Amino acid sequence: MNKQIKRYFRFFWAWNESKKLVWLNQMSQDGWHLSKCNRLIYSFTKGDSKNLRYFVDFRVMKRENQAEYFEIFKESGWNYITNAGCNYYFSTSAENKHQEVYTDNKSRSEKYRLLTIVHILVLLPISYFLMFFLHRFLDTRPVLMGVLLVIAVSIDLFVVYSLIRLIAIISKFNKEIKE
Amino acid sequence: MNEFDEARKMMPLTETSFYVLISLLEPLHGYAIMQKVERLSGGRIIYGPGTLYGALNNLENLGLIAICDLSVDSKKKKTYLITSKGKLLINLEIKRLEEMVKNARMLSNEAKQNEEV
Repeated sequence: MNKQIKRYFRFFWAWNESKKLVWLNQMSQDGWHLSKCNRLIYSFTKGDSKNLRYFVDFRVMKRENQAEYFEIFKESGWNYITNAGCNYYFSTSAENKHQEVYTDNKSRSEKYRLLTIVHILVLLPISYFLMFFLHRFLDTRPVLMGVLLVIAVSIDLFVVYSLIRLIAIISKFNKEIKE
Repeated sequence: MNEFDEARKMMPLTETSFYVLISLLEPLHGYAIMQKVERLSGGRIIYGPGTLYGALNNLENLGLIAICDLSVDSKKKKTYLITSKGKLLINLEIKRLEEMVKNARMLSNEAKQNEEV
């Protein structure tokens, strides 16, 4: 029996995770279940229509700790599907008693704080690297310099915008944390 | 800095940390901790896997719990146990919470008596 596979190219902002989760849930209801994710390419295999709820966790963790991590999720009814770097994809049935992966604001906030730090650590060096290149080409290649300048400034603006959005989410959770 | 001062710096504990810590006065693994806290709190506290995993990580990093390798299955179901530092912290927290509850009851009773006058 041939398993059909569909692939989609999608991009989601880090602060718009719920859009991705809603999309994955709708795909499952149409009988297409997530099997692999490679950052921007989502692969689905055909199956029965199921009301699967999805969740994406963000964790920086050593491979030796993964077994325990997956086991804790599995015992709570969340099945590990795949991971795209530090993004771990899980699904559960709608009947699962544990519908929430994070049940207090402190841990929700920690997830987004980690995400924010990684955003900064990854994106800023890229823009500085480009700026460094600019310095070299100052006299000889004005067009290239212009292009790189636009890219570097765009990355910096994106970093600032991402920070604002992510910090807004974090402070929303922090406000609701009781001591 | 001695253990006592280190422990005092971590006060007050969040409700999540507190309950996980006291559950681990005996060795337990992941989901069993979740079930125990649910029972102890009368169903009020039900941890999600993300919250629980994060709490275990934090407590281990702070030296309040440690892995005790007992079972063959220990890679998947790591068993944790509270450390002496953790026990010290719990004792301090018990004193603090008892003081708070005592004062709250006392002042509530006084207020009630003043109403009746």
